[in-house]
Amino acid sequence: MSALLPSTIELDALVRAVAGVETLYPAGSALAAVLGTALQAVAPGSATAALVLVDSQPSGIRITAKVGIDAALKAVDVCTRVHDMIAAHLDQVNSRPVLQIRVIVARIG
Amino acid sequence: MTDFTPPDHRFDAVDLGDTDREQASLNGHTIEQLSDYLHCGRLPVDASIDDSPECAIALRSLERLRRAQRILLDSELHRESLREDSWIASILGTITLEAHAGRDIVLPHPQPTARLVVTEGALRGILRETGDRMNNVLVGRCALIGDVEVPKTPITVEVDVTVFPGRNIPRLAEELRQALSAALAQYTELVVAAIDITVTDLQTAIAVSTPQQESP
Repeated sequence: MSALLPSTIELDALVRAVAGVETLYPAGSALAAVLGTALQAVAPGSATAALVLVDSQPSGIRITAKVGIDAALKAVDVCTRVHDMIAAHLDQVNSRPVLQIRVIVARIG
Repeated sequence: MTDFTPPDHRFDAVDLGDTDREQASLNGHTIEQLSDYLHCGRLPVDASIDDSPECAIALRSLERLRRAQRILLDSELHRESLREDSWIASILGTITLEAHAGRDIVLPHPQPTARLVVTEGALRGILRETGDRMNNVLVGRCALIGDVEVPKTPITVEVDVTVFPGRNIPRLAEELRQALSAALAQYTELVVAAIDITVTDLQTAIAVSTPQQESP
């Protein structure tokens, strides 16, 4: 079985489902997010911009997830769960080598 | 008597130059635009605001500031004692600057490919909220002094607050310090050498309760 790029839609759903994650923000540039929103406005039903960023490089992939978390929980616990969930998924789908999984807490509470 | 900004009016007390305005923008928005958005009940929905954590942090701070201002203006005594809008303007200025993502505060993970971080903006936002939730306190400036990006490097937290009457200030400062310390431990692994609290403004009219926890 050949190595694949992970589905960003699946990654979005996985991260959103992690306990303690309240919001999933676009991890790409602000410009890309605004353009994606504008595209949705003029062409509803067009492909929705993924929120989890998958950056494919010759030597492997870099994943970035930017989240808002529940203030009642420890940030490191939520981040670890997000990371481990993504890592397990990548392992499961036999993805390309993982260079980095970056989890950013951009908002608390 | 000085004219005051009504609590339901958009804030426009910050007069920034073009460069400052650009630097102070939040995901392409200014604090005035966010204030307008709040004033209009967040309608029409603007995804470029709603999808931005920096804007979300600033909006929450604006909501708390508005609530505090409303409580103050509801007091006729305080209305007469309020000196000018500079107090509001200075807090608005810090909200704008401190909502930015800023530096990465690293969280530990055993995997070498893992990079877990809390943004400086997220941390400042929750520290500000922690202070604002206490009665008789409104946080002005909140700064993390030191190299927060290098784990185990001691840092200092500096917080400027406005205090409203009704509480013993040293006791209030100690409670605030403990609350901030607990928040820092909850959301980071930072080594905090000191939490310095400066009372930069004393509101002197009547006892008021600053905003309590808001709805998400």
